[in-house]
Amino acid sequence: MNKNQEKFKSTREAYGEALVEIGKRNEKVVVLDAETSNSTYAQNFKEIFPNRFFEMFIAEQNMVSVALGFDKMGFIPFLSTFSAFLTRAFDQIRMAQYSNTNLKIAGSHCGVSIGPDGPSQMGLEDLAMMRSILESVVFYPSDYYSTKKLVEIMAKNKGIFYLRLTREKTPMIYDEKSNFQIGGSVVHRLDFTQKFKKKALLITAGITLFEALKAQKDLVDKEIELVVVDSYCVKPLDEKTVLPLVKEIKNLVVVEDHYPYGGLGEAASQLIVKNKIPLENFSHLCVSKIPMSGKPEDLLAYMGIDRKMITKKVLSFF
Amino acid sequence: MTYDLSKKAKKIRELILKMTTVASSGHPTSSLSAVELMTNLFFAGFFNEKNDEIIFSKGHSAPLLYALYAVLGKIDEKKLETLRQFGSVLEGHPTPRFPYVKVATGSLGQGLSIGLGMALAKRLLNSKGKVFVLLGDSEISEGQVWEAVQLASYYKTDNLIAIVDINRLGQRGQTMLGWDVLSYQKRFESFSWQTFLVDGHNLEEIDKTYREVLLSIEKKPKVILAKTIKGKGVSFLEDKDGWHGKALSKDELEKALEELEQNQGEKIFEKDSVEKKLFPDQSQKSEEIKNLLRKLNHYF
Repeated sequence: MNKNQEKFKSTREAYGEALVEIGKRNEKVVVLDAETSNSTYAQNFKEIFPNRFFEMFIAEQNMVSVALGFDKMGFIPFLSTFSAFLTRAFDQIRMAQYSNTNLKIAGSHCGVSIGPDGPSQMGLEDLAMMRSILESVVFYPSDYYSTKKLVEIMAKNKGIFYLRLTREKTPMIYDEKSNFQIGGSVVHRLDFTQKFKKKALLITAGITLFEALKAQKDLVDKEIELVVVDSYCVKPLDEKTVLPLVKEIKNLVVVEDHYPYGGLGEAASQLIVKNKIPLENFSHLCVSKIPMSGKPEDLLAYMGIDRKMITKKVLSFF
Repeated sequence: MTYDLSKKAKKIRELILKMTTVASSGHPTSSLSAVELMTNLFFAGFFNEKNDEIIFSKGHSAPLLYALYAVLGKIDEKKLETLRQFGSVLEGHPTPRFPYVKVATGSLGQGLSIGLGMALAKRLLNSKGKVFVLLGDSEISEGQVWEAVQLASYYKTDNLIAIVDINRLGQRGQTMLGWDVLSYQKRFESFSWQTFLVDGHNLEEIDKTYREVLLSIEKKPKVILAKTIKGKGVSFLEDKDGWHGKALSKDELEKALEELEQNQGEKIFEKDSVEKKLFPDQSQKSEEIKNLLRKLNHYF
């Protein structure tokens, strides 16, 4: 928490700004977008480096394979479109993993939180898809600063990276000095609540982090400490941080703006089972109904991944 | 220096048939149809290994790819016997575990897009290199191929050269267009590609076509539409249904090798650098080259 808390900016805006910064530092960075660059903010890069920006038009499969070609000629390709539409290029991404590739994929407009555009535009399977690539790294940042840092990390490290971006503006809760890394996370814990006997752990990422932080405050009155983990690196999960917390707290909620399958909830469950950690309570709040158009806050409430449902769920543990 | 291309083609056919029989699996017939197209590209001086790229989008013709590198002397002929075996870099479909391949192929319809990425990258690097992509006719049905075709013409990637091995047969029978090469031509031309039609087993014609392709200064991507015969060179495989992805038995292999021996022709070519090949000595200018230059004249 810092002084910037009152400021808002979307993670997709951060993506566009970060592209320009890495583009200045590294002339091997090229950017591809499937005719959505005004939504993904890849257009920021296009304005500064028109020669290194390639409009791919609405042809996602071709875009992924073209990016692979750029990679093999020594470039660092970043490609972007809506996360929903990346799913049609799964075969191309799957094949790219057999070419020791260096692909940086950004999927914007994830989740039901995009709101009025409706289900056809919502990326709700993208975490599952990208986690299933054997050696992929999957990022799902919640704020401006973490996104910018993660884009830098993507540029510096080789491999298939996925960056899940949110349409809505979100609070800028970190700052330029905050540390983010592959396999990292940030623990949000209120000092004065540590003395509370009732404790619950909440693992989340992206837009639902802010719902969780609101619930954290709501639960203070009930003398329940809610420890919130911003698991901005969905793959690999931050085992070192998460495991001791789960062992200590044993009441776990995972919240994500994604379908139940293959996302953060399953990643966390897998980790817990693998390490044979006994839990007292477990709840996975996610998108478990077919969505529809509406205001983002209405949809988060309808899916039960908002502040209210988180608070209710945690209270039910005690 | 002269060389006999048909001898090389015959050798490559032998290797394809032998290695797939040893492996008891693989795609010999899909490899045989593109032998002349690739033999000429690799051995007549058109392909510059330092600057150029070649992608086998039809990854199932991996035996042809491996045979080419064996005849080039890059890999030991003996190694071909490890095709498709556990631990061998000669996988069923090419992957970069084979050191002369940059991208894995085998999921059809992706090679042209990868080639387009390479072609755009080469342009950005101010490299003169070209990107050749060998495609099968069956994989043209993939929508992604046409995504690449239209984008290549938008970016006018004149350094991208597609070679379509139109052998008529897919996995279970005839393709949508069969040998209707004129329909393929119309489709590519409607996307503003420069097209070249060729008999994919006639070494002289192929030679002439590559020369035309490389001499063209049209700011367009190029496609060579080659009419070929699946299983070419072995009578009981040629244009036959039911031979896709099937290796010959030992007896069948013996018969096939005998046939190859009997039908051996001779095609003597001059081996030159690409430049010399494209711009031969003016004093020796043949009628054919004069015609070619006349044809190309309006581009200059």
